[in-house]
Amino acid sequence: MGLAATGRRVELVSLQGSHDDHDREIAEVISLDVAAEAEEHAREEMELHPEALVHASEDADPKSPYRWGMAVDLSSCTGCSACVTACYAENNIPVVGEEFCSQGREMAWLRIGTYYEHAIEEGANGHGDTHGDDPGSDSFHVVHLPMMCQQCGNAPCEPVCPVYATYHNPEGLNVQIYNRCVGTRYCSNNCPYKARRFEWFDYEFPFPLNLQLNPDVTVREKGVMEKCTFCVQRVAAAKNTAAYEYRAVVDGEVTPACAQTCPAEAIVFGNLRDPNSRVSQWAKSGRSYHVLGELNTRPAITYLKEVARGTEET
Amino acid sequence: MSDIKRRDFLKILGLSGAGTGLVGCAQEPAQKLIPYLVQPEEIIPGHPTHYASACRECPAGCGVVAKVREGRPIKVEGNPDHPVNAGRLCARGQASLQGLYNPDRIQSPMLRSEASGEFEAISWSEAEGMLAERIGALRASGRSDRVYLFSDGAVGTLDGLFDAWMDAIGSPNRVTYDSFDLEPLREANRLTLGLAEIPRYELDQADLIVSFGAGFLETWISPVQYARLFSRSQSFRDGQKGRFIHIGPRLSMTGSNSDEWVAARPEGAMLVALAMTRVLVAEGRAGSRGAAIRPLVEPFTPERVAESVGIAPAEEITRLAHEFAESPASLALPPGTEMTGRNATATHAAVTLLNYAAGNIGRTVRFGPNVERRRSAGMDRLTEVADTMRAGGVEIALIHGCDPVFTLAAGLGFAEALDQVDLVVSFASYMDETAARADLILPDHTPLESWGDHVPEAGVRTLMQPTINPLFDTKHSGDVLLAVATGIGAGIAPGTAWPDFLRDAWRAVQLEHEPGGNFEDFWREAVSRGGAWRAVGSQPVTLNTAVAGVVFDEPSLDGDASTPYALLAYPSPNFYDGRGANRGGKARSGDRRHRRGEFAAWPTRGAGLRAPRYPPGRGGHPHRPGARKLRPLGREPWSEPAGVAAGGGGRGVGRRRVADHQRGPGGNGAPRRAGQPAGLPR
Repeated sequence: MGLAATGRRVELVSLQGSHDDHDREIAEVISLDVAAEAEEHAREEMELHPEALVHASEDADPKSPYRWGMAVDLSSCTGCSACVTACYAENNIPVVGEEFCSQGREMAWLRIGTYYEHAIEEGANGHGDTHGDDPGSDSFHVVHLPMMCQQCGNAPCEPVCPVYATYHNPEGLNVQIYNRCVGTRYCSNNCPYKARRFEWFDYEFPFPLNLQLNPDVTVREKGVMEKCTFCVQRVAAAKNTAAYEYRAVVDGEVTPACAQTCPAEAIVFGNLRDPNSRVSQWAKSGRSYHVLGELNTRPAITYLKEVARGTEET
Repeated sequence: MSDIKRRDFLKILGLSGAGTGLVGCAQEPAQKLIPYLVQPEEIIPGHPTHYASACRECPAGCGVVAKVREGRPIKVEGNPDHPVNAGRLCARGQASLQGLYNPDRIQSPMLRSEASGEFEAISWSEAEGMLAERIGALRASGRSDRVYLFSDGAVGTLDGLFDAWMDAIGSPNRVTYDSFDLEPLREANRLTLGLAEIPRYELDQADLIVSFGAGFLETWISPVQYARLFSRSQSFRDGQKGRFIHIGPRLSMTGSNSDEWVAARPEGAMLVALAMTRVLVAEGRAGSRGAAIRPLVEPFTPERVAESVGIAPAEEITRLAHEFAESPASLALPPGTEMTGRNATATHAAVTLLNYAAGNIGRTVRFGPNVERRRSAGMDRLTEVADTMRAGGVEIALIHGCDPVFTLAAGLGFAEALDQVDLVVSFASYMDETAARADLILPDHTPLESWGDHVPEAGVRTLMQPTINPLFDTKHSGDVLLAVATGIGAGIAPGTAWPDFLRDAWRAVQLEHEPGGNFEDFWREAVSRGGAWRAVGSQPVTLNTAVAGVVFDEPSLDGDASTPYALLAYPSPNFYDGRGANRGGKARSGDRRHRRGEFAAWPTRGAGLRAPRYPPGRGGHPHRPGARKLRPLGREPWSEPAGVAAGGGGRGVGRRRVADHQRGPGGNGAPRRAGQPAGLPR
């Protein structure tokens, strides 16, 4: 097959600035040895302190029984993007189309980043140190990283809002109040995760698409900032149900749309103040880390490092 | 809402609590809201009701539960009880509501006007009457074999009705056409194991998965099920993790989850599989199974193969074979729809032999719970049909559930052949390429508006129920066929409507699943649960003695061998074979590896065209010293694969044209409101 110039120009729209994390703590890969060892340490730790809570559990009202959190296992995530589409369907997110995405008007509460990691933490050559990051090397490991609002305990977006449209609720959620928002976009500017999206236009849902709109979620208007809410409407529904039955919300009762649909079962959601909840267990795993954790944003989302299994001679 | 005055707004506010449900099917904004006088039994305003159904976005047939608020489904989620997907869905499944609520749906039956050549809306009685009259005339003159019915390969009651209907009118010409068929795999299993079936691949049991390219996490057979099983064995759990080696020219989304990528050339998968088998046989690792296949694989030494597939050194292949043999539970997966064309069947057969040699048949490859799909017409049959159409031998073509004008290779000339057919009837819900060439369009309900059933694999029968009243003046194709049959006096269950026909058909299902019980109870249970399923045992499999006669030719690519490029057409995880291109929600998700393909679908570059992002360098694998990932760029000339040649048929991916409502801003139909600026400064 041959190639010939057609003279036609097509703008190729890319939504990810770089597929390299430039050695920042974004996408992490470790080898099987390191993972197994770290897991062993974490297991011993958990046996010693079974009731221990992760730090992120502190970032809520002391009286609240809940601090909602999420954990994402990168070794399970296949990058299929079912979560992204589920989020669109659940949260009335308009699809802005190619033209506007090329202008930076992208709209998605959840996206999947793809990173080509050259660096793999190696067990045999000293623990945890990163090597093999040779730009000339053609070997790499692909990491799919679902990225959404991290619901930070120490959220950089909150103090910069001049009208208090974004605040920390008693259950630790970073909440956006749409009708307070005046659209300064300072919060988006300050978010290190680029998780906040601005409604640049009023989007219409022509009949019958409007029938799909979820009545539990506000349809946003032009000029407001929005982002992942941890499917707060589902949290509220579960709390309602629990309140009718005079009990607390139990583990597994709230499942956000992304976690619900994930074919690889890579996402777990729950209460970080319950040391036995699945999300707490995952967050205490030996593979856990926070994306850009060095910024001390104290995210409620814990990622579990991708594991690469080499051949036997490693 | 802008024309509502403040006072009106307050009035509405007072009523809105109970009244929102009636907005459901109205096009105009509601001016008066009235609470339910007689409240429908299952509706409590503000509370969702859930109905089980099936996802029909691809043939995998996952079970879904539609969350319905005040009479309209607002979200579909996987059916947790369903054995195929266990509560999970893929991106295509999540976007299926945009098929139901698509602004581009065909809203009533349409007939192409003789005078203007444009479509004009007609009534159902006119449309059915016309079809019955035409078919009746052909039948009366004994020419009913000039009626052709094209359908996809879905198995279920509708499939049975198609058969009965064609029998009743007396035409043998039913053509099953699946754009992504599994015929190479089926044929390969027949050649090697004597079973023309698609087995179940037990990915959760496999410690080592070697894939020769199948997009099993994207489009191949049952992606949601495979993703679940894959993560069971391949994600890190309790200090353990399986290993996944991807062999193929393209790092697909599926391949990106591999621990190792062996970049073999597009036609090379067969040779690698045969060479690995040869190593197993030659070293006696295949045990007693080796003797029968030894003559087949004898010529394919790793040394000879390594050079021609672009893997070097040859020890790489030996190492792969050793890993495969030493793994406690290995599994080799074929290239699937990533490879069509003339090498496909041989490659699938080579992979089956590798599984056989390693003793995987019956272990990680289990026959018995086989995938249920009608055999798709091969290129030979389709060529014959197109020739017949061109010669004027087809008077009526009924096309249901497929879009051959778009998905078949242009070289076949199907579109032009279709123009020679007297009456082309399409059952499409959207104006796809085939419907645009039809004379009569009888729009089907979308799956979420329909009664129906679907059999994805042996022992699983999913039941579909309507989750909403039909939005438009559409009619289920089963009803249309029954009405036409009654109209011509062909008498299949005269006077029966499609839902009753389906229900009657389920009496046979009950005999299979719960014989002896009360049918009413069984039916009610099946509707609420989403179907009926039972475990299916394994089927013993032995090597087909005829396998000795199989000859593996040297694989080749068609076309000009002097250029360094090859064209790979591969299925799109977002749009499947193009049918999903009008679902906006997917437009921004899916195949992250080819971000250019995110929005509309244009053929993305195949691996042969891939620029070397990671140029081959000294390239020691950091966690595997001494081993290298090698890529086949630039050394040997490649040529064009046999896309359009016999056996498979070239497959385009993605629509040439995105849906009308999707042009410009608003992938899900979100145009800017009038008066807004077209674009702000960047």
